[in-house]
Parts: sequence; structure tokens; C-alpha cells
Amino acid sequence: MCASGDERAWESFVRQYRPLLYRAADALDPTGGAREVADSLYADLYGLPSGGGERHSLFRYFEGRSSLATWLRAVLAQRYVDRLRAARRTEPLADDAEPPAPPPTDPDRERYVALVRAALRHAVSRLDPRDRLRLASYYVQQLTLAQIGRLMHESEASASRHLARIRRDIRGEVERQLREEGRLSDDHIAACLASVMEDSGPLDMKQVIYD
Amino acid sequence: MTELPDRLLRDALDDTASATPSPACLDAARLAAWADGTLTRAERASLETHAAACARCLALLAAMTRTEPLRRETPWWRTPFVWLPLATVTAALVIVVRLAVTEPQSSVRPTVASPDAANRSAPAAATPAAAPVPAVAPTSPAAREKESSAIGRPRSVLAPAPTREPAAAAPASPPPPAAQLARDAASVPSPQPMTAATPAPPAPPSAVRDEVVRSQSGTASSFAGPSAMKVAGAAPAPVVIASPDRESQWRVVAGRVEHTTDGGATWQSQSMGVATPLRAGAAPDARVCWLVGAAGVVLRTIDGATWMRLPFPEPADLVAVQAGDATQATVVTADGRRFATRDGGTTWTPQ
Repeated sequence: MCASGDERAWESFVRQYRPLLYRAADALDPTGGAREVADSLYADLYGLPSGGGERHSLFRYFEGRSSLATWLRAVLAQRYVDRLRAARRTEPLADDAEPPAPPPTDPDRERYVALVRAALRHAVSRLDPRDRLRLASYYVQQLTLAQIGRLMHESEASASRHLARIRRDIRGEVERQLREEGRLSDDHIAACLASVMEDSGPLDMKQVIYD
Repeated sequence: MTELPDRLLRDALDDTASATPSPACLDAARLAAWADGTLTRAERASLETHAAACARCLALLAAMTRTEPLRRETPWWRTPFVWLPLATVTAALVIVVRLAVTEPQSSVRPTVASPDAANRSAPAAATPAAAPVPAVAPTSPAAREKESSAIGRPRSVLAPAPTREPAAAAPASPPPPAAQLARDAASVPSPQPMTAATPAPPAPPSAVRDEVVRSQSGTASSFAGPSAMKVAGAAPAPVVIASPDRESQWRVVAGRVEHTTDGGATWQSQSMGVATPLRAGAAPDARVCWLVGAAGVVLRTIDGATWMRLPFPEPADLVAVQAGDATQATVVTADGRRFATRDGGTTWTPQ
């Protein structure tokens, strides 16, 4: 009825789902930036007449495989992510661009970093898809353990245990890569990891390496 | 460069993830179905495999997870069925407590209503159901006889336990009218076969009725009449013979006769001089007791201590005796014939 332009149905829909969409928008962007996406979504849901006068409502894409509320959240999330990714692509300088490197104090540092980076890339590429999903949710999307648990349909404790195991696996694989591919001795591996550890951020290469 | 390790790992994840959309990327409908858990297992596995290597779809999953309404933690007391074990335990406790409370009340009720009723209910109290309340319903035969002697009724020998149980087990049925019981008591049962004395016999109905009469009528008589007659059985259960004096009782245990003068606290074995199994007895007085047994054995004591075997005209098995005093008694043979004496056993007259 909303798709066909029933005003009363539309009012009822707005009354019922506007709070839900705004809560979802605030969860995506606590600064309120996602509310714009939610408002624009209302327009598409209401449907604007095309050139022939026929209304095209976004409701026609609702397949019924989920609840309407979940589908609305999914549409909102999709639009927000796409908009964010598009904005990042168009930004000339990303905020998270690496700052200028300080003068190297360790002559082997660049080499060590390159070795660790390659070893990490190799280790990550060998991960089981679900383990990779857990790791990326934590390090890239920065979800909490509770959120990762919900995403993976497991408990928070299970998510924590899985992450600990994945870090141990990565550490072992990195050491093996440094030893076999980098031709480093055990002493050199220790020096390499120590060099990287000196610059470890709040995250925890310490955990990755020394767990 | 303080975030170098973080960046290294993140870069590794980013570098190995696809940044370009593909046909396998999620649309809103699949994303919502994933969130609601309506995808098949295969669809879900495929979606997760793709999202693990797709930056956009990973971001979509993360966004959906972030927007998921927080589920309020259900308090434990609102969890379904959490009260079921507690309710079950509580119900069991209530039942146990009610049973514990109602059983003593049901046993005490007759005593509270009427002392006479209490005496009438003595056999009922001796049933196994009343056994857990010994203070109200003594379980030992001596104690039960002690209870019944309180009303001064003539004492009589009790039939063996197997024959008593049916009578004692019928307290639920309304007692017969007192007049009917008196008639039953006054009229000696017709010579119906008294099979109680035969090997493993059931108790004769008349004897059973007589037991009920004695226990429920509460009438006293100088001549014990049927109320003093007991039918013996072959069972080894003790046969208790109560006298009008509740302190003085006899019992036959495994063929031996024991006597108490303190209401059953202590028992003294008495010498009988015969080895014949004794089947029944009657004590019309605190010091007078008659005992009968197989092969025409009739024993009597008039001082409560020494026993004398009395002559009997034929070696018939005697299964019951009723006594009025030291000189008058009637015995019943196993085949239902009755013999009476009015001279202390010197002569017996068939009835």
C-alpha cells in the first residue's frame, strides 16, 4: 500500500519505522552523518513519479526473505557504505595516510618491515575464510568482540578464543616465513620482530607476535 | 609510525581483499536475509567466504552488525522454564508436608471426637497405614491389646496375624450397627467350617466378623461369649491374649507361652508341659487364661503362673476358645464342633 501511494499507509509506515531507521543511522555514524542517508531513503521508498507519471518505489525490491525492518537496515547500510567508499575514492589525501617516516635509527629497519609485511600478507592469505572474516572484522572494521560474535553467530568468548588462536597461527606463520623465505636466523628473527615491536601501536602486534 | 604493526596487519588484510565489486557482492535483500538468519547453510557459507575477501561486503556485514538493535538481556527470572524446576521442587515439598500433617491428624481424629470411637478404631490404627504413628496407633500386638483393654472389655485370644489382617484392613467401610454386632456376638457362629486351623487355612469369616465385633462393640460380659473366642492360625505370628487388666497379658510365640504383668514391657516365659502347638487362648481375668491347641490340648492357669492340662474327650484339633471365667469355657474344633464346660474343664458337653 505504501508502494502504491496510500497516504495513510505511508504515515503509518513512517511512524513505525522512522525511529528504527534513525537508530540504525546513529549506530553507523554517531555524529549524525548517516541520517542524511536515512532521509534520502524515505524519498526512494515513497517513490517519485517517473516521466510517465508512474511511481517507482524502493519497496518493490523487498523480496520478503527477511523482515521489513531488517531489509530497511540493510538498504541503509548498503547506501551508507557505498557512499563512504565513494567518498574515500574521491578524496585526494586519505586521513589515514601514513605520516612521514622518522629518520631510521636501525639500518635494517626498512628491510625488516618489508619482510614482516610480506610474511603477514602471506599468513593472512592462508587463513580459513571464517578466520579471515573474524580477523578483518576486528582489525579492519574494528568491531568489538561482542559484535564479531553476533556477526559470526557465536558467543563473545568464542570470538575471543578464535582471535587468540588466529593470532598464534599468524605469528607462527610469520616466523616460518622469516626463517624460510627471508633466510633469517633465529637471532635475526628476534631482532626483526623486536624492531617492529618498538613501533607497535595500541593494537598489538605484541599479541600477534608474542602471544 | 606508532601504528605501524596495526597498519601492517591491516594493510595485509586490505591488500589481500578485493576492492572491486563482483556479481557475488551482497545486495540489500541477501544482506537482510543473512541478518535474519534465513539463508541456507550453503548460502551463508558462500556469503561469508566472499565477504572475507571483499572489502565492500565485509563493510556491509560490519555495518549491519553495528545497526543490529541491541537485544535486552532477559533477566534470568524471565527466561522460559527457569521456574519449572523450582516449582516442581516446591510442589513436591508441599505434598510431602501435607502428607506428613494429614496422616497424624487422620489417626488422631477419632480420639478427639470420642474416646469410644478411638477405642473402636484401635484395630484400624493397627493397620500398616497407621504404623508410622506409633504414639497414636501402637504397632505391636501387645500395644494394640493394651489399647483395647482400656475399655475393660473381656480379653480374648487373637487370631494369628494373617487372619486378622482382613478385618483390620477394612476400617474404611462403615462399621456394622452395634445391634447387629451384638447379635453376631451373642449367637455363636453356626458350625461352619473353621479352616483356620487347617494347614495354611484362610480365616473363617465368622472369626473375622467376631474380631470386628470385639473391637467395635466394646461390650463387656461376664461370659466372654464369642468376643472371647479366637481362631488360631498356623502362622507363627505371636498370638496375644489380653486380659481385662491391661497389665496382664499372655502371648504365644513359636509355641512358647510368655506372660507380662507390666503391660508388655517385659515378658516371662512360662512352662506348659506340652509340646503341642497352641492355637488360641482367652483370658477372662488377669490371672486366669485358657489355651487350646492340637490333639485336644486344653490348658488353664488360675494364678497366672502355673498351667494345668485339662482333660478333653477327644483328640480333636482345637482352634478357638472363649472363656467366661476360670470354670466356664467353650472351645471350637477344627471341623467346627463346639464343646463347653462349666466345671473348669472336668466335663465337656457338645453344643
